[in-house]
Amino acid sequence: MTAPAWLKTKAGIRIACCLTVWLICWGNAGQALANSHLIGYLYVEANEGDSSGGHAAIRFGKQTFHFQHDNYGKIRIRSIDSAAFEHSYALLGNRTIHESSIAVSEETYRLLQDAFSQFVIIQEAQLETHETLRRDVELFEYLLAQARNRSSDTAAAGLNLKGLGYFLPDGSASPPSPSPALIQLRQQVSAAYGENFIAERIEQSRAALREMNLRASEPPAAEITRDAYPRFAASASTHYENALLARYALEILHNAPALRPGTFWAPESDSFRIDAREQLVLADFALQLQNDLLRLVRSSRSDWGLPFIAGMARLAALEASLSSGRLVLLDTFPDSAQPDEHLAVAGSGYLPDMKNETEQAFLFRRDDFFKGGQIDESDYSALERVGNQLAELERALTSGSRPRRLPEIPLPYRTARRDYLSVPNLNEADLEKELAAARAAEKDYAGALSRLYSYDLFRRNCVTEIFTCINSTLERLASGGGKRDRTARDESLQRLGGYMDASRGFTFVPFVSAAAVDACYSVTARQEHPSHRAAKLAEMKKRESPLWVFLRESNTITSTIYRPAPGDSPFLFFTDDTILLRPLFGAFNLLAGVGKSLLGLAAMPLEGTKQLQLGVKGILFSLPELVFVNLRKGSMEYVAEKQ
Amino acid sequence: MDMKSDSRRIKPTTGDTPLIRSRRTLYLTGSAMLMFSLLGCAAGSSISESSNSISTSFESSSKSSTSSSEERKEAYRGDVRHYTEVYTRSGSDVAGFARGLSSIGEKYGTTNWEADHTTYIGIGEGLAKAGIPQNQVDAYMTHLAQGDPLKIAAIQEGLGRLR
Repeated sequence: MTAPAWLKTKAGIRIACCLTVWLICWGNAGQALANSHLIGYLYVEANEGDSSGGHAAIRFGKQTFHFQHDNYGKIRIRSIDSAAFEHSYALLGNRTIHESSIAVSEETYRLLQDAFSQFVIIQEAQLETHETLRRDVELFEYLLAQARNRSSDTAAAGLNLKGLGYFLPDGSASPPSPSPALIQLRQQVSAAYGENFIAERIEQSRAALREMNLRASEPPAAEITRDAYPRFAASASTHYENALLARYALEILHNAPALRPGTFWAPESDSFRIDAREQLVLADFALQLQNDLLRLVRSSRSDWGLPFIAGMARLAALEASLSSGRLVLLDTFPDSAQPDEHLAVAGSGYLPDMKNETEQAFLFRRDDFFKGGQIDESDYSALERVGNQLAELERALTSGSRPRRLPEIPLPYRTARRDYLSVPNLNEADLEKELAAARAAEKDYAGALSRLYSYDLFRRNCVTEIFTCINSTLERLASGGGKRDRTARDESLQRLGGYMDASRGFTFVPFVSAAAVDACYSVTARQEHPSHRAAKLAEMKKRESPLWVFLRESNTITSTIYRPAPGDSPFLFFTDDTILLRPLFGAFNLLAGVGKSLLGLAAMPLEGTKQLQLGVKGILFSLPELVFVNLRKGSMEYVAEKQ
Repeated sequence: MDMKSDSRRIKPTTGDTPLIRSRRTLYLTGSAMLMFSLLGCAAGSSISESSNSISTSFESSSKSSTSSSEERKEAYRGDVRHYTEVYTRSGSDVAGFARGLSSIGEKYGTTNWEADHTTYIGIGEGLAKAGIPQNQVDAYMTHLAQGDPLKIAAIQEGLGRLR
């Protein structure tokens, strides 16, 4: 077949060339539009402390996923707000984050984001299942001790139950004087469901406890996989705790006690004052909460007791707010977090800044809550959380002690120990059998979790797990797509521009993985999120002489940027921003480490090994500096969050 | 024979030349650098219980404190959707579904998830994404909504969003 005659003319050739160029551009534009979403692969530089050799993460817009080595030897996936991740690593950790943006289609973006999100849920459920099995063992040990003590007329220690701490003291003492808000709730329940409703439900719950048939669970440990939600029936401890909490919820409703002193905050500061309009909003919310509790008391949820108790405690706190004209919030710090540790002078200098920052966050949350419109429980929880933080900082400033750390899920679950609990009628022989079964089930499940998630330096770390998650998702897609011989590699090549296997070579090392991602995937942009110190140095050099900035900020004695965190080893010079002087600075740092170690040795009889450990760490992190390698950058005790 | 002369003439028997010594030094240095990097990733990636910074008390607090109500609801709905999807795929029974919702709700400050409209929209979205047969969707709807028309409407709203 020959070309048409017009194409052989000059005009024809020009038209053909333009058409070809246009088609190429259109194709690229189409591809660019198709791959308009960006997944960020993050490499976090090394520093001493956590993830001292570097870290890796994957980012989907405002959501970042990363894997951490927990205290039980497992690698755990975490989902964290992207800004919070940067604050933690780039600012507090003082590490530069390198982000490689991988261009993908919207479909691939959603697919992978969902895969990581689902893995968070699946792994959390698997770990919670193990925790439940552990509580089963504790329960059967407790019940067995109770059964044995019954025969010897001595009392066994009670159990700590969540939520009761706001109303009941430890032990078996009676609750204090009544609360008008809870009396009103009780009256509403009686009006809605009958005068005898509460008494009958209490009796039913006591009978249920006595007749409860508790059996050790046997979850199918062999079926645990990374991509399947664990199939597991409710455990003995869950049944028992839910039944106990349901009974106590009803008894608290019946007695309608006031909040115990020391279980709530009622700060005097202006930030907690509420005006007449805000009181109306709070009153509306209290009414809404009351109606929700009215429905909850008849819920078919087996675990309705705890949210009901927490709801009653909040109702009492709202009542106190309305009567006092200032926000009264339940104290959500756990009982075990006692504020008695004195804060070092260096740390106490940051408390005013932290308090001011937290106060701004609290005022923001207040405005959001009181602006009107639909308010739900999560809105109140957010206000309660940041209010707790602010009140705790005010307390720490006044007392000069270290502020306590809020639990990861700061809900009003203050515990109280209850003695002489209702126990099922099980004989010692049955309980011993169930205890043995519970121990075996817990051990089996722990073994299965270890096989899936045990940390391994080379095969299962913060880098490998990211690519395992990506590749296994694409593998499922390939095998479910109906096309024969399609593999994860094919999907990865098509969707990401390449295939990463972190089990090969040194790709499991964070900085190597970052280079591999750049070479392998469709990376369209690279961005640096500078460390706190690097960003501050850049700002200073715009305003001042770079030489003067270098001289002042190069060492830990005159630096105005460095706010050493307690875990930092001693060193004299920063070596991350200088290469030529690194071995010289490293030598001085080594001397500082040696000096600290000798002081630590001398102080060991009085202070233990803490100073010695810091000194040895200082030596270890100085050694690479002698051969031009920088790991240590110093970390920050406190840095304000970017607004 | 003069022993001194002999010792000067005698070459070292270890075979260590300067080139070999410098290569060995380079190898050891490289290994040390690699070991530090590896140890770092191993020792690290760890949850910072060891970190005693004053800021760890309030780390990531203000971000969650300043996220808007809408952002929180969207994130909660997303997690309910993911949970519903993985739960229904696992083949577990409908009766056990509610247990996992409590854990999801607590992460977002919601203990009484039944009273939160967003829960049911998320469930509907998750049921749609799971692609389970209609009779199973109906079973979930019946069990969770308990005949409440508002809850049924919310689940159907969620179903409609992703179907």
